[in-house]
Amino acid sequence: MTYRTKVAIMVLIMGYAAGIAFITNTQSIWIFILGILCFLLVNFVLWLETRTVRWHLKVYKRKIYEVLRNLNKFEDPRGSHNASKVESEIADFYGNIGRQIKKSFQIEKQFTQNASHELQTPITVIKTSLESLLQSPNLQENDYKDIEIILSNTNKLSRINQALVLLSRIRSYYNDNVESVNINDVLLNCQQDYEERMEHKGIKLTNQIEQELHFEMNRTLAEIMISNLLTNAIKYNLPNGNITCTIKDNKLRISNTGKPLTKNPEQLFDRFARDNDNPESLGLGLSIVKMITEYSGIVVDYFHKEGLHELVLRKK
Amino acid sequence: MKFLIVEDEPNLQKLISYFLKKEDHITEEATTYKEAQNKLSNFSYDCILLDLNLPDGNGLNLLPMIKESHKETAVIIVSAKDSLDDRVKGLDLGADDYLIKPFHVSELNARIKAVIRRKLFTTEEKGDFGDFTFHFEGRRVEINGNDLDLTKKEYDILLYLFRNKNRVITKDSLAEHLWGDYMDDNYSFDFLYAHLKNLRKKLAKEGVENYLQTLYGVGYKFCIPNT
Repeated sequence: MTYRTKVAIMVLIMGYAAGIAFITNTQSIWIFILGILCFLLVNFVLWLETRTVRWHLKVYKRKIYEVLRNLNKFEDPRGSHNASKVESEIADFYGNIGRQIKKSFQIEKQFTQNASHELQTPITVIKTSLESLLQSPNLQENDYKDIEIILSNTNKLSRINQALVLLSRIRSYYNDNVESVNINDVLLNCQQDYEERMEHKGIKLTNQIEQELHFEMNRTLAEIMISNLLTNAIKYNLPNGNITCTIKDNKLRISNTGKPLTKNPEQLFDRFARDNDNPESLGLGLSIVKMITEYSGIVVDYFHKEGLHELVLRKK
Repeated sequence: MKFLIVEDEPNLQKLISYFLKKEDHITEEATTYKEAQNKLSNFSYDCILLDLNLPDGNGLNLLPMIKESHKETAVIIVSAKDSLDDRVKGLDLGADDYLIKPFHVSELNARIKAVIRRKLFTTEEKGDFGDFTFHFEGRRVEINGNDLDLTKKEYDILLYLFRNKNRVITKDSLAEHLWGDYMDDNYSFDFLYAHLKNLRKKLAKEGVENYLQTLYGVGYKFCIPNT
């Protein structure tokens, strides 16, 4: 009920009370009080109703957010037995939205699953056949060159497929086996894996570790996230450059020397936003990092200062 | 050696068995869960290549049965199903190795040889090839009795070449074998070339660099030179 109707009702009741007052004096007081009480009652009932509606809205809003955060767990909202009309209307409304979201999520998920599986087998067949063709003793130099082109492109196809599958998987897996992951350990293990690679490029690694950092997340995703950040810092570094990993103030910073960005920093996390200098790169590494952080309650920021590229992870 | 290939994709199955036959193995095929189950209860195999995604069931469920009645059989899971825990589950249930599709034949070959060596010929400590002698336990290589001073990566490269001797192996498969599939750019090849260059220098010192042939940017072949 709008404010204007409320005022109208009030005026009506007051007028009614005043009219009565002219008839008898003693009764008029009581009728006036009765009028006021009526008014308060109407208001109280209205207030109650608004509150219930607000409460329902809040409940369903929370449900929708939950659906968005975890698309697997949406349950159809069901009003209680003695649901009021308003409640069941709201339940219907949010139910529809929720079902739609869930449906499109499932379609997307199924598509990526099917696509990845259906693509992986033919890719394997192509690779296997090519490798078997390579064993033929009758190949000429040109044949080898052609085979090399087919092979390297098939490999690229396969990597794109795997990366896209990973992107779609993050949504389905981020919620499994969430634990308190010691980021220090993950970082150090990861550095060990890439030690040789850094050495080969003459990169100097410095660690400034002042605390232990824990993120509540899936361990495998944490490993993928850190490893992608570190590979990036190596890949886009200058020969004989530097990488500094800092853990302090509840943040992990990975900064590296490198050429200035050729693209807008805002596009850094976009899919397929690859660097012009490196046509072989898929441009999916950082979008994978971004997606993992979004689903794990972490924020990733990019800074550029004093010629250093810096990526910072912190809890939301 | 007798292999059972459990794989529902006919092309891939043919290719794998073609490859294994060329390596002088005997192969049998099963395209469904049921067929695999029947074959396993009637025959015994030295090695089973197991796809998990079968049209009528999950290959993982075959593992307990294999482990119960065929203790000596080596099992390598070959599957596209690379979900985060299938790998662990498979290995827990007694599989000997796990290979994710798409894979390189050379990688499959190396894994088969490693698994078989672990399972069946545990006494095999060295392998000879021309002037080369590989000592698997000590992870070292001798050339005509002279110890070759190799880094860990160089030994891995040489061993992979040895396991795939007389075959062309692609540089991708070699890079993937050494660093896993996260090596995803041209840069990884620079890295590989650097290792190979060093390895070649060391082989040249012993006068055996012509065992390692380079094939027009496609890959490499480890074979006894003609001359």
